[in-house]
Amino acid sequence: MIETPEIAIAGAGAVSPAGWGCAPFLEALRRGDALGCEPFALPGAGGSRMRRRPVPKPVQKLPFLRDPRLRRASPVGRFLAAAASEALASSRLDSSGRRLAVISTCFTGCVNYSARFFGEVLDDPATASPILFPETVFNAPASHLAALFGSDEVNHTLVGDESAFASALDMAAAWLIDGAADAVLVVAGEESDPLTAEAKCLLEGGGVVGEGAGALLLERTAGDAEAAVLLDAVGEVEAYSKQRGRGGTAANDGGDRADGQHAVVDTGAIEAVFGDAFGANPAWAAVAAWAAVHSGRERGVTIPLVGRNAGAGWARFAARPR
Amino acid sequence: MPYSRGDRPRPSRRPVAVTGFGLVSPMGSGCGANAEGFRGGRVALREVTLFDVSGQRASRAGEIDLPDGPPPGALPVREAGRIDRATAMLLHAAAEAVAASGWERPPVGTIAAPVVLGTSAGAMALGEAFYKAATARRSRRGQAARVDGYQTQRQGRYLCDAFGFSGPVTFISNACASGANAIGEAGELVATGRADRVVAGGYDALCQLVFAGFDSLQALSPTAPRPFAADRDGLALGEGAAVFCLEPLEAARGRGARVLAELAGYAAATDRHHLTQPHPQGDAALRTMRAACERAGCVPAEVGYINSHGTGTPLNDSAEAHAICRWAGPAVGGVPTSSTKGSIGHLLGGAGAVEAAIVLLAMQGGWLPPNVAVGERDPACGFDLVEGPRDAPDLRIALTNSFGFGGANATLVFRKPDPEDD
Repeated sequence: MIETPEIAIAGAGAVSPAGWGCAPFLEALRRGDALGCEPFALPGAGGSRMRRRPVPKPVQKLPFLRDPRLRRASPVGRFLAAAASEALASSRLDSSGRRLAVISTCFTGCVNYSARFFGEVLDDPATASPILFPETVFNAPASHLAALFGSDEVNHTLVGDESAFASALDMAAAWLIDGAADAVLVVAGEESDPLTAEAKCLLEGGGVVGEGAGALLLERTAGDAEAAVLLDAVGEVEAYSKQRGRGGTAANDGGDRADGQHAVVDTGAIEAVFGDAFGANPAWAAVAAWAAVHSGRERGVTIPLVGRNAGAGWARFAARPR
Repeated sequence: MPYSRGDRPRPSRRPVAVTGFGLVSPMGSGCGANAEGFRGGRVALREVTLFDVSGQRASRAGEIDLPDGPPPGALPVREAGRIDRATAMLLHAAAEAVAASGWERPPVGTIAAPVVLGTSAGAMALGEAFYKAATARRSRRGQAARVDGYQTQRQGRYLCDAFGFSGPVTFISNACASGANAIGEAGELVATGRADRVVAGGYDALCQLVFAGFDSLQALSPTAPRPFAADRDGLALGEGAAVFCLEPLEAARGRGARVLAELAGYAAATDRHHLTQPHPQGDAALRTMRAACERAGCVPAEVGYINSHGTGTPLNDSAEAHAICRWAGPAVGGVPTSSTKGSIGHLLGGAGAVEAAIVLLAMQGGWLPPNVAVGERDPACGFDLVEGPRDAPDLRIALTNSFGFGGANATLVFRKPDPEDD
């Protein structure tokens, strides 16, 4: 028989338009005021209906940026590295000798380098930069995390809409249950770029694009008292279909909003403050949930992970029973 | 089956059966065409016609002639007319897999099956078209459709709508290991009791950005891909798709399905050596080969064939050769090994899945596909390099390796079913 162990959310990290770290993210969320945004246009365009909320430059030099693997990393690679570093640092569980796996999710990926490289290809393929191309692949940022943290374990990048974060949490739980890893970094991040903003305008009529990353560290625990926040459940992702679109799945309400037993993360409020950072938004929602339980403010929090075009899922974090 | 704290313990692992598979590759569409081509030692590379390669070092690839007519499946005509090349390949492969599996779509509802797919570029050609129109500030006409079709979610949705899969669809994008990772993770869902039927596969279509990318790295061969040759000078790209239907072996036997193979082992690991270059001694490859065989309960001497990653680049083939020799030890001289990338090119996200399908074709037909155009072989090749088509009537266990950018390493092990399952 395969036992179902207790899984702790041992740490969290965030990078957002509010700054680098959970603290500015949570403070901005608490205030609830939309952060400032700037116009965003395709190169050479005149006026633009696009707006974005960028991640500000870090106040202090980030130590991990000295790592050779990150020297040429895309913006999203750096966001992920910062968020994941914070999640690992905030963990108080015993980390010695553990096998650390990584699951990264994204919607758009390393779009800035992809656009730059393709532009060079169209100009003259003979001079397109070989330095850029490897950093365009979806799993480049996650591979940098493996190098940064010395992980030889399984490392997956999942591409999809917001529901992919639910799939990532479920996959991480499975790995921990099956003994494939002792800890799993579940991360998600996006970088803003004019083409993605243009796409958003085309499909959704506008809005403000955000960028950043969120990270959670999941670990098996043996009833460790230090494990204050537990993964309580991950709901099954319900795929949209012709018969059941975005509004018609049970997962839209987070699974148990109706019974009032748990708080529910207001994902709309997150987007209102930070913008639409596509795949990063569900990770921010998860960080907000972790913080609410970790601080003792809530005993349990449900995170709706409703995707814009593939499916809907949810997850729930809970405080260790007293 | 999602996670819930306090869940009851689940039963131990259960064997996983492949009851259907299909593929589209430069060798042809379908199992028959591919078996014939590989058994005949054919090379299916040609000049690229899909986009301009005149400014690049290399000009040849494994380009597919898609079958004429609408794609298979139950997509409405209007949607079927919109699908991109990559999705078309996926649908053709899925049609063959589902037909072989005997899974029937109910009159109302769906086939309860999550889907796990691997791809590195998805519908990148649509993304390229979007980029060109957006940066040239041409009319926005058609741009919304390009954006919509470019997303992997749309490809997953087409697949589910065409064949009635319930989903959800999980996309793993681990570069050249994507397809193998997808099959492996799908197998884990079945083995651990989280799903009773899973559709798995991998696909990638040729696109200008990726072709230029590999060319910029000088990874493409200006002559021809010659895996494991002493004077090899690079790889050729290819395109294609393969899809698998997986279910518990016991359930397959119970419904009288034909068991095509058992997915006996899978392992994944990360090579931290470099973003694009493998560890010279193939440490991560060794790890996945050992772990996959341990899961399969077999030792190297029992493996009757390795379909290697074997891209034809100097660094990959050397590292993989070292890994195979370390893995097999004294038995290495008796392990038949070949790379099929010299015949059809490197299918990137589709490679792991298509090469797994080739392994199953070989197992079914009792033959081994050749590693073409070697000439003088690399001295690191201590294994039995299969240089011409070879009969292998006793092939029972086969292994396939897939290694990608970012250090994604994956190994799959397949076992021929017992005679009772034929």
